[in-house]
Amino acid sequence: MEGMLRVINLGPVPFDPAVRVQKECLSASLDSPGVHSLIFCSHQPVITCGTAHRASDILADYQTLKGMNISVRQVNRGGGVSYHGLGQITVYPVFNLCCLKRDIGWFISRLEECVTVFLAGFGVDSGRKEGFPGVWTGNRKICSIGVAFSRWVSFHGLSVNIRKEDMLAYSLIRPCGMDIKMTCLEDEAPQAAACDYAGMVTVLLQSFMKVFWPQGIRTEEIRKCL
Amino acid sequence: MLIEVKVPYLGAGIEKARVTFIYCRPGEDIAKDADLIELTADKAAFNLPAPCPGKIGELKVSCGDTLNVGDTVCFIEQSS
Repeated sequence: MEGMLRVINLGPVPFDPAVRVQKECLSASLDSPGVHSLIFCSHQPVITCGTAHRASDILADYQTLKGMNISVRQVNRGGGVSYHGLGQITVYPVFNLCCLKRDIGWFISRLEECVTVFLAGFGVDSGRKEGFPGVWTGNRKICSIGVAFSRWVSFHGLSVNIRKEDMLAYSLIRPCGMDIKMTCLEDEAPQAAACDYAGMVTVLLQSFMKVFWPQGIRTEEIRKCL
Repeated sequence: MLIEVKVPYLGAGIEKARVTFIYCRPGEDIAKDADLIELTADKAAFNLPAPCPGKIGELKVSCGDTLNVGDTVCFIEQSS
């Protein structure tokens, strides 16, 4: 069993400290290619703008966002505008693709599969939509994906909408630059409301292990004080 | 020795990528693995690293260009 997966659960956290943790993990993976990190968190409200975003994809003005305590960050991941809030689980897989497969399309499709497996655990039928990265239940998008690579080590990642509380915020943006309907796990599977954040993270971690390391990998839980 | 840097294979089905940022300038000294340009394809941004230390020669791309896999990005005069 080669390599090691460091599992870091940050819980509710502002956006900027999570970026710092990603950078630490990126350095660790660049220094030791067999070391991968998987960061789980939920963000205080923030709109992130990827490399393909347009200013017009943010529909609310600055004062409105400020009044709602929503910050805006420019980020160097692919994709357009996205929203993150406490009702989501955001996952940052910092994986060294030199040890897995040097293929961006493969990596993104594996991320989508992780979420599909996770959602299936709650009885939700979901899948990919050709040409529209992310995870969909019918015509509703439940998971957004945007990644970046430095020397084939991934950073940024995906957000799965869990709670209903965040869904209104999507009216403030055009997610990924598209006019699409977003959904969340609670809307698709009301029984999921009984599962708390920690339980969701456990199921998501199992999904990642099943999809990326079906043969197993040594894991280590890392605690971070932010 | 002059090293030609090309857009690498990025994955199955990814034939094109857009230049979304340029980190280097012609004439600049650069270390091995330093970021040269940022390419964006689908939902991914990919920083293209320098394959060797040296001095950046001609830069063949501009921000906003769409490149195919195998296109030349720049030349590096490799330092020993």
